Amino acid sequence: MLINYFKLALKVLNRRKFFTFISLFGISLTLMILMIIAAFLDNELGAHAPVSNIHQLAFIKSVIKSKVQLDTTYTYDTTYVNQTMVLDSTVSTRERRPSVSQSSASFHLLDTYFRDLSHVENYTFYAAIATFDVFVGNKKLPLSGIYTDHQYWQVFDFTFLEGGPYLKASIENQEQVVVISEETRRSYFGSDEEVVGKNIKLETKNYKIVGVVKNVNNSRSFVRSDVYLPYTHARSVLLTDKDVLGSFEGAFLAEKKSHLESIKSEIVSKALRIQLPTNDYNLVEVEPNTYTEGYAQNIHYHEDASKSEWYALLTLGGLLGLFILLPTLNLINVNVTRILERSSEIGVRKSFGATEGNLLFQFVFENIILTFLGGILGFFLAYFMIDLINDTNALFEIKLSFKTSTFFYSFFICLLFGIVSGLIPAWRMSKLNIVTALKQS
Amino acid sequence: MIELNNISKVYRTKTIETVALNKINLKIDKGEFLSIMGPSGCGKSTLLNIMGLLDEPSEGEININQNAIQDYKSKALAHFRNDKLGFIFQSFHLINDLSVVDNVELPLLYRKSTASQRKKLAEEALESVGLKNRMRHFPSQLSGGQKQRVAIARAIVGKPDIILADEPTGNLDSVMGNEVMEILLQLNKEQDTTIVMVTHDKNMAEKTHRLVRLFDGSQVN
Repeated sequence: MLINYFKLALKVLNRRKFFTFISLFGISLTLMILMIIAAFLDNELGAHAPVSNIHQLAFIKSVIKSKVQLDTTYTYDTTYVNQTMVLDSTVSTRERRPSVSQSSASFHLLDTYFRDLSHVENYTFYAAIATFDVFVGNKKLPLSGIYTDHQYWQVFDFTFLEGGPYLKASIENQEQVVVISEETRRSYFGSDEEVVGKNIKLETKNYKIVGVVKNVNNSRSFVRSDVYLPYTHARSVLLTDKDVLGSFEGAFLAEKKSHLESIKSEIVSKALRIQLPTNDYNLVEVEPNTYTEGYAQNIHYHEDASKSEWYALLTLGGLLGLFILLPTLNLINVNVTRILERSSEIGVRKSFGATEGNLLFQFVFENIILTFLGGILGFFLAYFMIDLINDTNALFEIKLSFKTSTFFYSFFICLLFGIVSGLIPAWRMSKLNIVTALKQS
Repeated sequence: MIELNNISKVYRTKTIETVALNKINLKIDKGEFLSIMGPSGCGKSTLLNIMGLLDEPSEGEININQNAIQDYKSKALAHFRNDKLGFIFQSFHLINDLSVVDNVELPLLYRKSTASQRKKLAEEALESVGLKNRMRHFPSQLSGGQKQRVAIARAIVGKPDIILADEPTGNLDSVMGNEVMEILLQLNKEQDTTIVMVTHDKNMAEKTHRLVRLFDGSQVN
């Protein structure tokens, strides 16, 4: 039966070339864009080096310190009880926060309270805050920098093109060492030749290059940088300041993904127990997030990060839904016209015993074939467009790649698109009265 | 075999009520070849469509093989049509995108059968109408008479008890019309298939066992 439907579908597509072209054009263009979005999301949220373990990481990116006061309000009223006027009072207590500050964490906070969390396999503290203006000849070259500890290179799996990371001893001895990116090697030294052992001058100091890492092709600010330096080279005030707010962030690698929630809870409760030395602030709140939660909070902020994730998913799903709605409606319209032309066939099939279900299946199946043809075209178009986006640097640091997962997302989208756009016309047509269908032809 | 009791069909719009069939009572026995005649618009095709379960009567009862058809739901009707009925239409209604053999196989798609069984039965049906050599052709490559013979093959491929033919020779010249009529007569005689045929052609009607005349939706003697 399927072979029969398949043969018929190809015949019908071939017979009405213009309709087929319009349909395929719409489908392939829509699917191309959806595939690029899927590739982008996969690039943004997927597990790729140097953050292959992204789904096992919890981050401390934001700390809030507040002064919390309890305001008590007394309300007095009079009332009659047994014809005697009595005084009635209501007491209400309300929490008030006259001062609130929010920022990244200080090195002191991370160093003092968050080094010994349970179920944490490894952790790193880093500050992605450095910017340097270096000069190559007479040309200014702005470079971004991240101050890191030695665990940074264990938590994140950078690919070293030459050399390796700086070690704990180098950090403790305040050695002037640096890891640079492949791009920095090219822009500073003008070639891809080996540079380990050479010096790079950042502001006034010379740093010895110990390693060159492969460029990070995404927007993850905690790993994407031009240079990486030991945190001991950060301004001393950043390391010695006893405030809880600062410029550092922490990433905690859970032993297992399932431990993430308990790690986050431990961070929250530890923070709440911190006693601040001054009276200006009396409460510290830390909001640890997984990467996707943090990403979602940028799209739709909610105090509860998991809710943020849901809202972001809904927003994204809604937008994608709207985006897919227009071509779907168009395809439904084209399909209705296309199927209406076949009313004689519908009448004959029903006369000879086709049930509404049989016809529904046939037309949806035919539509899935059409959308898959569009999908294949869209797949090649997307492949070409992704290459173009990467070549022209249209998304700046982000380099998209086509992965198996993207292919499966696309496959799923094709199927969904085929079913949705085929079902409504097929359902309408399967309900067609037999005599009317035969007469219409 | 087929029993129609007080069958009426009324088409209603907001302003007009048109009676297409008025209290038709008809009994057709197994193996009978019945023809229905009457002027255009007298309700012949409507009656045939109701007998073929393609349309519902406004009133009345239909019994086929002692089955009270009016109680059947849409899915059961589809299965009944597939199993017991075969149709031949004046304008053939072949699917132009399918080859002759695929057209003939069509009724078998809706019952349990393998591709090879379907092909075998379709070949047999085409052989019986003398078109086995045209199996791979498409309807557009056939003459009117050949198209109608393909339609007959499609109607008989599922070995139905009843064949309902709506002016099967109406679009054919007399030679081709006679050929088609011969096939139907042979089918009725050799396989004892009950045939109900709507026709305008008195000569054709005279070849059948019984003639029923309709006028303005009513049966006339």
